[in-house]
Amino acid sequence: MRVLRYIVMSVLAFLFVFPVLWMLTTSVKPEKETRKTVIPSEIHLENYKEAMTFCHGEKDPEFEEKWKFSTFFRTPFLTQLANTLLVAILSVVGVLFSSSLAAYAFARLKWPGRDFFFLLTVTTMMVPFAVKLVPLYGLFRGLGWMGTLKPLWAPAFFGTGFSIFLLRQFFKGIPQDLTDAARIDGCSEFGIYWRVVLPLARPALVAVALFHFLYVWNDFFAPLVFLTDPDDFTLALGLHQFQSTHGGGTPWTLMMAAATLVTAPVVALFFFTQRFFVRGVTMSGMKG
Amino acid sequence: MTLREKIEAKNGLLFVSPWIIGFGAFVAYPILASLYFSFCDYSVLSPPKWVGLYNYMEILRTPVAWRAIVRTCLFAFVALPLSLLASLALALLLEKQDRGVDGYRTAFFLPALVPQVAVAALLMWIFATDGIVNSALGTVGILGVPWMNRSMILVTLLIMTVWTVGHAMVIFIAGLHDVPQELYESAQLDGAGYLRRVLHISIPMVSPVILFNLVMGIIAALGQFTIPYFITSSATTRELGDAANFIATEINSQAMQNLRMGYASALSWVLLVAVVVLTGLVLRLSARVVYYRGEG
Repeated sequence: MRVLRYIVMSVLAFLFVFPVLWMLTTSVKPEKETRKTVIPSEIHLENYKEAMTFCHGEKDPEFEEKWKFSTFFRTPFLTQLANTLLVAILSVVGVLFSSSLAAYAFARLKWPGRDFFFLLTVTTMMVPFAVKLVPLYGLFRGLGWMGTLKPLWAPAFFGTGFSIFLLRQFFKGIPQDLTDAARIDGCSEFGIYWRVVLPLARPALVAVALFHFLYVWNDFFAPLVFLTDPDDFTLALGLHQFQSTHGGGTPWTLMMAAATLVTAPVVALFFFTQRFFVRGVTMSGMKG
Repeated sequence: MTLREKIEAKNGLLFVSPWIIGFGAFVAYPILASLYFSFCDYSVLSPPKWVGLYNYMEILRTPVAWRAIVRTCLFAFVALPLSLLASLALALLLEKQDRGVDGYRTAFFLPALVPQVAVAALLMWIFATDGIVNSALGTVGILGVPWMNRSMILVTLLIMTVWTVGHAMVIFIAGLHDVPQELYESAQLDGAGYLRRVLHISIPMVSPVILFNLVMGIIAALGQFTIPYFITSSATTRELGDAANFIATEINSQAMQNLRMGYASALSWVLLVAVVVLTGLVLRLSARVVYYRGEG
C-alpha cells in the first residue's frame, strides 16, 4: 500500500514537473535538436544571450556589439526587468501601507458602516479586470497616464481587497490586551498600529508583499492595455511580444530561454520564502 | 456615543480613507461607469451617446459574442469540478507527513508558480503537432493529435488548468491537517475503511475549504484572459479562429482593437452577472452542505 502510494506520487510528480524540465532543456539546446532529443548534446547558453538581446521582432543587428558589458543594460530584457521591478516594488510598498491601515480599521476599530464596507471590500475580489477595463482605460487616458507605468502601480497606493482581507484576518488574532496596554500608556492610535500591531504582523505582511509581487510580475492584461511604448514593457508583455512579432518564426529554443528567464526569478523567490508563502496561501483559505 | 467611541470612529474612518478613495476610483466607479457605457455608443474619442439596449441586442445578434459567452460558461462548468477533484485528490495523496512528502508537494506546486505567459508559451511548445506530447503518444500508437487546433484547444486548456492546481492543493492540505485525528481513529475502530473515512470525515470536515476554492475558481475560470489571448494572438496558431475566445478576450478585442467601448461594456456586464450569479448559486447551495466547526 505504502509502496503503491509512492509509485502513484512519483508518476504524477513526473507528469507535473516534466513540462518545466522540458522548458529548461529546450532553452539550452542547439536549434536543430529541439524536437527529438531529450538531453541536449551540448549546452547552448548562447540562447539566453540571444533571447535577451532580440529586439522588437528582429534579431538585433548590433547583437554582438550590445552584449558588451557597458551596453548590456540597454538590452530589451534588462529594460523590461527594470520596468517590472519598478512597478512591483512601488506597488508592494503602496499595498503594504494602505492595506494594513485599512485592515487595522476593519479589525481593531469600531466605526459606522464598518461591517458593510468590509463585505464590499471582500466582494471586490470577485470582479474580473475585464469588467473594469473600459472605464479604467478612459480614466487613465483622461489623467494622461496612458503610455506610462503609472496605471500599473498608482492604484496599489489605495490598497487592494485581497490584501486587506488577509491582513484583517491576521490583525484580529492579535490579543486585545497588548493594544489596550499601549493605549493606557498613552500611545496614539497610529502609534499602536505602527509600533505594536505591524511588528507583530510581520509574517502576514511578508506574505502580502510576496503575493502582490508575484501578482505584478505575472500580470499581463493590465500592461497589455495600458502600456504603449515598448520601452515601458514589463517582462510578461515582453515575452508575448517576443513570441508574436516573429510571424511564428521565433525559434523554440529562444522562446523557452525567454520563458525560463521570466519563470526563474519566481521559482527562486518561492524557494527562499517558502515558509511565509505556504503560510500565506493557507491563511487566505481560512474562513472569517 | 461617548467621547472615546467618537475618537475611535474618527480614527477608523481616517485609517480606512485611502481605501475608500481607492475603492471608489478603481472599483466602484469602473463598475458603475461600465454599466452606463453599456447603454451607450462610446469610442473614448467622443463622449458616450445613449443607445438604450442596442449593445445587448447586438451581443445576441453576434455569433462570435454569444459563442464566447457559452464557451466561457461551459469551460467553467467542466474545469471547476475537474480541478477541485484533482486538487483534493492530490492533497489526500500528500496529506500524510511521510518521508520525502515535502519534495513531492513542491513538485506538484511548481506549475502553479510558472507565470501565465510562460505557461502559454510552454503549452504551445509541448502540445505542438510535432511536439513532445505527440512524440510520447506516438510510441503507443496514437499519432498526430491536433492539440492546438480548434477541435482540441479546449481539452488542451483543461489539461493545463488541472496542471496548475497547486494553490488549491496547498489550501486543501492545510485544511486536512486541521481535521481532528480522533475522528479518524474512532471511525477506524468502528471498522470504516479508507474510502469511507475520506467520504464521511475528510470531505465534510474540509467542506468550507472546498467552498473557498470553488469560489476562487469561478472568478479565475470566468475571467481567464492571459493564456487564451496569448495562444490566439500567436502566429503559429492561425487555424484556431475564435475557438479559444472567452468573454474576457472578446471584451479586450472589442474595446482595444475595434474601439467599441459601449459594446465591450455590455459584455463586461454579462461577465459580471455570470460571476455574481454563479457565485451566488454556489453560496446558496453550500449553505446546506458546508459544515462549519464550532458554529452549532
